[in-house]
Amino acid sequence: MNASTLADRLPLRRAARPLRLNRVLGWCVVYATLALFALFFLAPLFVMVTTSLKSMAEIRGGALIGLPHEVTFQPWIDAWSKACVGVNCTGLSPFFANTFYLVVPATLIPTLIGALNGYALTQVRFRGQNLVYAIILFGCFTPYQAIMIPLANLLGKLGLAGSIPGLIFAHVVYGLPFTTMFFRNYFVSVPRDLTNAARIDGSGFFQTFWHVMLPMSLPIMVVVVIWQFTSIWNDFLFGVAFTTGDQVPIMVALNNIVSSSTGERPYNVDMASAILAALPTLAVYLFAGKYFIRGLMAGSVKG
Amino acid sequence: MASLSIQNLYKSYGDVSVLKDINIEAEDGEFLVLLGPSGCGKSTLLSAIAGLDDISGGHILIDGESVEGLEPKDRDIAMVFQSYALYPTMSVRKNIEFGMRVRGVPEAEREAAVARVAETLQIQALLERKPGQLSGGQRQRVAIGRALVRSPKIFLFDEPLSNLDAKLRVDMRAEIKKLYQRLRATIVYVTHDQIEAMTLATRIVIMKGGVVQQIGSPEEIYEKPVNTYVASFIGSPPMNLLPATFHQDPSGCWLALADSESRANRLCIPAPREAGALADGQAVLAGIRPEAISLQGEGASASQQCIDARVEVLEPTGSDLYANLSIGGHPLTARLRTRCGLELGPASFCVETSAIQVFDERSGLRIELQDAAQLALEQDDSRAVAGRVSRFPGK
Repeated sequence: MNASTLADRLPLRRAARPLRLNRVLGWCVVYATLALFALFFLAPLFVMVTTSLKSMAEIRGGALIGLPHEVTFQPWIDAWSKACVGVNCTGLSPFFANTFYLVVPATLIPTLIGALNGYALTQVRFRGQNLVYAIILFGCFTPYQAIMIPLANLLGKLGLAGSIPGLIFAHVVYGLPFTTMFFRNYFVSVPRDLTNAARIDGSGFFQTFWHVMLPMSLPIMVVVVIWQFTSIWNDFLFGVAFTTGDQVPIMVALNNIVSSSTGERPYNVDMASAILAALPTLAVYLFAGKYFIRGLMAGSVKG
Repeated sequence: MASLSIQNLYKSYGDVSVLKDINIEAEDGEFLVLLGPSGCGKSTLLSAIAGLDDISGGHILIDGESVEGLEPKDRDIAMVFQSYALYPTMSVRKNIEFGMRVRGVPEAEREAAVARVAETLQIQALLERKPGQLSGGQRQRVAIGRALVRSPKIFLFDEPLSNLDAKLRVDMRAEIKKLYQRLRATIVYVTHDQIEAMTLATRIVIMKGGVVQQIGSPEEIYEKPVNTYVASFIGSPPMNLLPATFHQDPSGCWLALADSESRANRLCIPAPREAGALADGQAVLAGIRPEAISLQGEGASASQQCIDARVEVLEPTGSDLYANLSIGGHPLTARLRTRCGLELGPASFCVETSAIQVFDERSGLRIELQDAAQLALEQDDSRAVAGRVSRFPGK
């Protein structure tokens, strides 16, 4: 390196120093803010977890906040298999099963139909295409409460009232506008050439859907599955309205556990139940969250 | 292998007419190129042939049979798309055999067909890869392979090279030509690139605004453009179109080029083939290809005539020297040898008589002239040519 290049570099270095300090300070502020909000949002979870690991004797002593002196898993066992839900003291386990029977078909059916709708709405030209989409989209903005009574009426006439199949039906119908919207907006960026190529290859409407479009839609499918799974798992209103007794889904059961306790309120069991009920959605987010974020971004950037 | 016949084809979207009275006949084994600027309807015409778009009127016949109302799959055609349109989730092998798979071709047969095509296109090593892992040129090969594997009656290419970079485009162009020479299949090829059209086609269809302008071999299109649009569309730089006046007297016909300078530039031309096609004093456009103009003194012969022009700009490209000339304020481009010693300012140039085209100024249509060779013979000893050449003895 000769003298002239050295001289050229020196002033640049001097200028860079205060800039770097500013940057460090900036990052400190950002991280401090993030940490503060993380603490704020994690605090309730902390109380839930610690309380669920304490015995009632310890809670009665007034130590509601703080780490347990003696860790006990009894509240979790009670919540799973002994806690009284209404009159039956079965714990949450049978309702977990209920909800799985509910959530699997109620997620898969609208996802598949939504994909088919999205494909038809974007890759096939037909009269009134946009009107059909607008009407389907309208379903997204219809509040639950508005359709509650007519839907209950319909389920009664179909002989599905008060049962899990009835609830599945309700969720399928209500999920369709959302799944259609997701798939339609994903498929709209797929070039028409692709379906044209399939047509020339001799592939029919459903063959093209099954072999070409569906495999392509994996990123958005993950989003739709998570969306449907989470909203159905967390649903309370449809569950409490359209099912009864031992057919209720987990969120209704959780409510019943908390409200049906007599005398002393078993905070530890309530907390354990609540965490148990929330675990599947939490797990789904942890395992599939990155696909969720990727899927929501899909289409926004080419490539 | 099949012939293609398009008769009185119309296509409109609502009130907008995009294809108007298209008539094209392509024989078996013809490489037909549809050429035109964006929005001229060439891709729409291809879609209509493929059956991807409905037509509003007219007939399309493949091998003499009407394909009206037939689905694309029943027309026995294959198409290569501009965007390649490879199925992104399938491997190259699956992409190529997809058409056979949905038609229920047995596996052994499919495998043999894929192997044959992969060998032809040199893509054996790529068969298990996904389209996303391929380069543009490789994707293009796979897309061609997908069309090739079915041995259809007609191949349709929709601007297949326009997504490739310049170097690769030239390579693929040569490969498509090689492939065609081997297969001798009937091909309809859409492009907006005149070089592609000139190099590949056995016949070119030039379109503009949904109307066919001219159908002909590349030579015909280049040498005898039917109107000023075709003349200025084909060739790079395009044909020069100079305003001129047509004159006729018993000694012959000539064009007086627009010239604000004192002396008029005159070009003798053969008489129009149809007597009376041009009236004395009628305004016309003289079409002269840049390569038909040469510097005076360079192999001047009786078939050439001279014009005076002012050299405004010189553009050396390495192989050629483009000289931007001006005749009476009208621009004119000449394609000359490099190092010909030309300098800015006034100079004299020679024009090949047989290369002069005459277009009606108003309609833009070319006026058919008599054979130029005849004129050269007639004028071999005439004073017009000799006198002009000797006018600039120094050059």
